[in-house]
Amino acid sequence: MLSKDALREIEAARAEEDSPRHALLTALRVTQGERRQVGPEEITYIADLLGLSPALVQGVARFYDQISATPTGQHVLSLCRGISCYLCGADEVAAAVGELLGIRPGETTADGRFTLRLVECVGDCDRAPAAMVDDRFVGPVAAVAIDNLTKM
Amino acid sequence: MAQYLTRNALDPAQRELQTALRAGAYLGFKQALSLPPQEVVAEIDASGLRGRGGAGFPTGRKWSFIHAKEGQTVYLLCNADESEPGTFKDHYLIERDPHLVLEGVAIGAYAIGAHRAYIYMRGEYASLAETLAAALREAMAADIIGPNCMNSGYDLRITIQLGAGAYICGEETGLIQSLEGRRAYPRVRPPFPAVHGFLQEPTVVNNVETLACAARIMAEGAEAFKDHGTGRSAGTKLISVSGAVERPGVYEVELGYPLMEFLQGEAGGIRGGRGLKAIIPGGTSVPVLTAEEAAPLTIDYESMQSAGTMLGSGGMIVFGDDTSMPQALLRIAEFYAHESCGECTPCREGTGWMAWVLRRLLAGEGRPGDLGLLLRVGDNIEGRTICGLGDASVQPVRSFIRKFRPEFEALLPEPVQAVAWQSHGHGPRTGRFGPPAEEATRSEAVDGPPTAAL
Amino acid sequence: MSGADLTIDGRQIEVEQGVSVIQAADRLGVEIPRFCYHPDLRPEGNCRMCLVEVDGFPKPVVACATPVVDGMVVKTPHTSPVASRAARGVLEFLLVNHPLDCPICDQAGECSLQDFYMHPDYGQHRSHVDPEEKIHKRKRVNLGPRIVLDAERCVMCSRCVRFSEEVSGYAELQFVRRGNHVELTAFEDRVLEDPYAGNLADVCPVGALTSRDFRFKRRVWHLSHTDSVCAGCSTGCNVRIDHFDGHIERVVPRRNPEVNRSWICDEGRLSYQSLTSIPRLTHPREGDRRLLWAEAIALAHETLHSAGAVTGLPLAALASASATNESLWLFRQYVEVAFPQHLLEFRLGREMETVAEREDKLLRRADKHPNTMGALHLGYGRGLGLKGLLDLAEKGELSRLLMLYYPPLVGQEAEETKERIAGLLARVPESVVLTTHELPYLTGAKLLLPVAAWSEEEGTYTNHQGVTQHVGKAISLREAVRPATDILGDLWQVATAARRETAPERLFREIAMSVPAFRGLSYAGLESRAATVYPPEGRMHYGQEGFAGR
Repeated sequence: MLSKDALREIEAARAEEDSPRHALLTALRVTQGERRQVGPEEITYIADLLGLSPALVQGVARFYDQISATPTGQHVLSLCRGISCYLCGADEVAAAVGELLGIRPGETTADGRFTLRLVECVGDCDRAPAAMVDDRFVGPVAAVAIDNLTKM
Repeated sequence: MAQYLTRNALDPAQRELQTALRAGAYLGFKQALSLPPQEVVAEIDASGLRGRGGAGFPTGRKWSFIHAKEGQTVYLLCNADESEPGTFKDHYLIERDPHLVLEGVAIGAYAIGAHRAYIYMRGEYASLAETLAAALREAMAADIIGPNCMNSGYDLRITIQLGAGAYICGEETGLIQSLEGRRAYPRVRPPFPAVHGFLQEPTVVNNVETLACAARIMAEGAEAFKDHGTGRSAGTKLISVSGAVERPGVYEVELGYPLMEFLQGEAGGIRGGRGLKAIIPGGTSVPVLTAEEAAPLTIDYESMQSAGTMLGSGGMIVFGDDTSMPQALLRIAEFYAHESCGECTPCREGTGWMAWVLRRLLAGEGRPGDLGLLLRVGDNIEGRTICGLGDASVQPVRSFIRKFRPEFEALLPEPVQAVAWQSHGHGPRTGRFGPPAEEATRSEAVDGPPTAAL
Repeated sequence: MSGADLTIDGRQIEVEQGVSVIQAADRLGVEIPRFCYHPDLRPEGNCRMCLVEVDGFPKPVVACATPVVDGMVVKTPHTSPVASRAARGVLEFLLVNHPLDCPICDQAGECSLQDFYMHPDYGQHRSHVDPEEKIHKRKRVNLGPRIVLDAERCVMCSRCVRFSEEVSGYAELQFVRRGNHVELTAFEDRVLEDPYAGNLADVCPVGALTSRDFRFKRRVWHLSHTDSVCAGCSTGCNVRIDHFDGHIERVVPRRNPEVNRSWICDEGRLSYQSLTSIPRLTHPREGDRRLLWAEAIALAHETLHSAGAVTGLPLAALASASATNESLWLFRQYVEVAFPQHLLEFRLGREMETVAEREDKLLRRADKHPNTMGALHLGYGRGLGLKGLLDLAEKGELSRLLMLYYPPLVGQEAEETKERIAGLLARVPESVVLTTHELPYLTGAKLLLPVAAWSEEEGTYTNHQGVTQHVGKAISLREAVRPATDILGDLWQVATAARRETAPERLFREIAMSVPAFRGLSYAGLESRAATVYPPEGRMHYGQEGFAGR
C-alpha cells in the first residue's frame, strides 16, 4: 500500500522508541501524504504494520484535522479563518475562492485537483489572509491573483 | 526595537551553518558543555528567563524539577506547535535562525541531563521542518550535535516530529500524548511531566523562543540578558502583531516597551488610518483590552497583569474601530469549540455551547438571557478543566462581553419578544421524547464556514 | 513514609500514602459523585464530576487524581458551596447534549447521570438547552452478541476505552473526532472479540453500552440481588445474581481486589443460562418411576448397602469438584461412616488439556470446577480418578457407586468423560447418582436424586488461590429438588440412626475446626466479607444497593 520511502520513514520513527505506538503519528502523516486519505483500508494497514488495534489507529487518525477520512484532491487549498485573517477579510476571500472553484469548503473540484478547506489559524498571520497549498504558505491571498492559486 | 534574539535573523544566509557560526552560533552550547549541568540551570535561573510560550513560568526552575533516577531516560521536548491564534514568532525564528533554535534545544537537553530531544512542530509547519532538518543535518555533520557533541563526551539525539493539525498538541501534556501516538488528550496533573512525562520518563517541555533565549544567555551571560527588559520581566520578547495594522509581523521588543509606541511605530499604526478599538495582547487566550485600557500599558508581564490580561504568547491582535466585536468573538469562540479536544466535560460541552449561543445571537435569534448564559457557562468552565484550553476559551468571551456590552445587547431581542420566549421556555415541551431532530445540524455549523461570513 | 490524616466534610480518616481523595472518601462512606473514576482503572480525571474543595488550593481539584496529603482538609459538594457549584456545572454540561429519554432508556434505575441529577447537592437544576438543539450521534449499534452502543448517551468518561486497552487488551473501542463531536465507536462496527466484553456494559455509568443479554428484560428496580461466586471455573469471580420471580435475569461481577478485581469473563457471566438450557432432574427417579423422597432415601440406602454386604467389594464414591465444601465434607463423612470399605474419588469432568485454549492470563482458567482446591483440602483426590474406577468396574471389582455430579456451567462436558461415566454406570449394578439435570450419560444409574444447582443452595467454594468464598442462594428450589447436604443428611440418618446437622453454616464450622486449610474462617465472616471489605466502588447507585462503602 505504501512506497518503500514511506515505509522507511515509518520504520525510522519506530526505531526512535521502544513503543511502536510512537510511530503512529508519523505513519498517519506519511499515509495521508501518499494515499491522500486515511480511511478504513489505510487504518487496517497501519494497524497491522504497527501491531495496534484498528480502533486505536482510527481514534488517533480521527483526532487530527490534517488526516482525512475521505480522499482529498491532488492539492489541498487551506484558507485560514483565524481571527487575524478574519480581521483582514478572510471571509470575503473564502467566498471568492469558493465561487471560483465552484465548490464549498470541504469539497473537492470535479477534476479532482483541489480540495478546499477552511482552517483555523495557521501561524502565518503577517501574511493575512493566509493560505496554504499543501504544505506551502501562499498568503496573503488578496495580494496574489486568486486565479493563480488554482493554476499551481 | 531590540536586537538580541533576532539580531542575525534578517540575513537569509543565517540558515547555513557557516554563516551562523560566524555570527556566533553554538558558542552558548560550547560554553554550556564546559560547565556541569547544574551550573547551566543556575545560569538560566539567574537570568530570570520566563517561558515564552504563554504561561511565563521561570525556565531555570522548570529545569531544576528534573531528578532522574537510575535507568530513566530524560527527555527534552521543544514545543514548536505554535497554534495560539495570532502567534507566529516561532515560525519566524525557525525560518530565519534555525541554528539558534537547535542550540537552545541542545543546551536545554544538556542542562536537564537528557540525551534525547524532540522538536514537535505543528503539521502546518512542514515546510519549516525541512529548514530545521537541513540545519540539523549540517550541525550533525559538523559534530556539533550528535554522539560526543563538540568532543565534550556528551551525546545528544534530536528528532523533529510533525503534528497533524490539532491546537491542543501545544499544551505540554497534549504534546506528550500526541508524541506517544495517542489522541492528544492532556493528562491530569499530578504527576507532572518532570516526574512522568513522555513514555512516563522525566520530561521538560519548552517553547522555541524560550530555548532560543537560553542559547543567547549561555553565550552572553545572564547579566547581558537582564540588561534587557525590566526587573521581573527580564530580556526581550518576540511580538507577533497582526490584524488591523499597517505592518503586521514579528518584532523583538524590550520587555517594558510602551504598547502604544509599538503600535504606532513598529506596527505602523491602524490599517487605513482608522482608530484603535481593542487589542488582544497575547493570543486569543488572554482577555481583550479596550483602546483606553491599552493606552498606558507597557509590553511586559507585570503591566499586562495590572490591566487584568497577560502577555501570553506575545501574539498581539489589533482590532480597528470598524470591527464588530460580537462577530469577532464568534470567530474566536468557534476556534475553541473546534479545537477543544473533547476529553473533559466542561471544555468539551462548554466551548461548543458558547459558540452555539453566540451564533444564534448573531443570527438574530438571541434570547433575553443569552449574555448572562454565556457568562455563566464561562464561569462553569473556568478552573474546572484538565488543561488551560478551557480557561483560555472563557477569557475572550467574558472580556468581550464585559467591555463591549452595548454591541452585544444590540443583538438581543426586544423585551416583548422576551415574554413570548419565556412562555415557550416554560410551556409544555411536546416532542421531547420524539424522534431526533434533523441530524447533526450543529455539526455543520461548527465545521463549516461562519454562516454570517460566506 | 507512614500514613496521612485527612478530614473530609469534617470527618477524619487515616489512610496510607498514595491513596487518592476519592478512595479516602469511599472508605469513609462520604459520597463523591463520579463518572470516569473506577477503582480498577487508571485515573484519567476527565469527567470533572468529583471536583472537591481543598483548603489551601486556589480552585477545586478532582478527588480521583489528587493524592492525599497529611493534614488535608477536603470539602465535598455536601458541605462546600464551591464544590457543589462545580458539580452542578459539570452535570449541566453533561446534559447539554444528552438525550432526555430516561423513560425509554434501559439504564434507568442504575444510571449515574440520572442518580446524580436527582441529588439535591449536584442536580435538580433546570436545563437550559432545548432538546432540538442537541448534537445527534449513532444509536443502537450492535457490537456483537454482548453489547449495544448508544453513542448519544455516552458521557465520554472513557471507562470502557480504558478497560479494553488496559484490562482485556483488545482495544476495540475508541473515541473519534474532537470537542462536542467526540463519539465512541468500534472500528467499522466490528463485532467485539473481547471475551470480557460484558464488562464494558458494567463499567459504563450511563446507558451508552448496555448488555444485549439483559437489555429490556427487566427494569432494574424490580430485581432482587444475591451475592455469590461464579461457578464457571476455578477462579471464583465474585458476582451478584440479579433475579426476579425465581429466575436469574443477569449475573454481574462484584468487586474483589484479591480475586477478580471488578471483572468477570463473558462465559462466566452467562453460565447461569446453562442451568436452564437442558431439562432439570425434578424428582427422585428409579428408571422411569418417580419416587417420593422417603422412598428414594430408603431405596438409596438399600441399594448402597445390600449389594456390598453380599460381595464385600468396596463402595466407589465419586464427587464432582463443583460441589460446595459443605457438600463435599458431608459426602466424605457419610461415606466414611456408612461404608468401612470405600474408594473416595473426585473431580468428575473435563480434563485440563482439552480446554487449555480457554485459559488466559486475566481470569479464565482451564479447570472449570469452582471448588477443586476445596476438594483437595477436604482429602479428595488421592486415588484412581474416573478412569481408574472404570478399570476396576470393567474387571468386576466394583458393585456399588455413589456419585455427586454437576455438569460444567461453562462449555460442554468432554465426550470422553461422558463415555466413562456412562461406562461406569453400565458396569456397576448398584448406583445412586445425585445430580442436577437430565443427562443422557447418567441414564444408566439405578437411582437418580435431584440436587440443587448453583444459585439454588448456599455454601462455600475454595478457588485456585486457596481463597474460600461464600456462595449465595438466589433461587428457590422447585419441584422435589433438594440441596445435596440435606439428601446426604437423610442418608446419614438412615445409616447411623442419628440425626445429622446439615445447615451449611454448621457444616462449615465443623470443617473449620477439623481441616487445617480452613482453620480460623467463619461462615458468617465469609458471607459479609464482600459488603464490608470491598465497597463496590465501581458502581454506585441510590437504589436498594445503597452507595459505595455504605
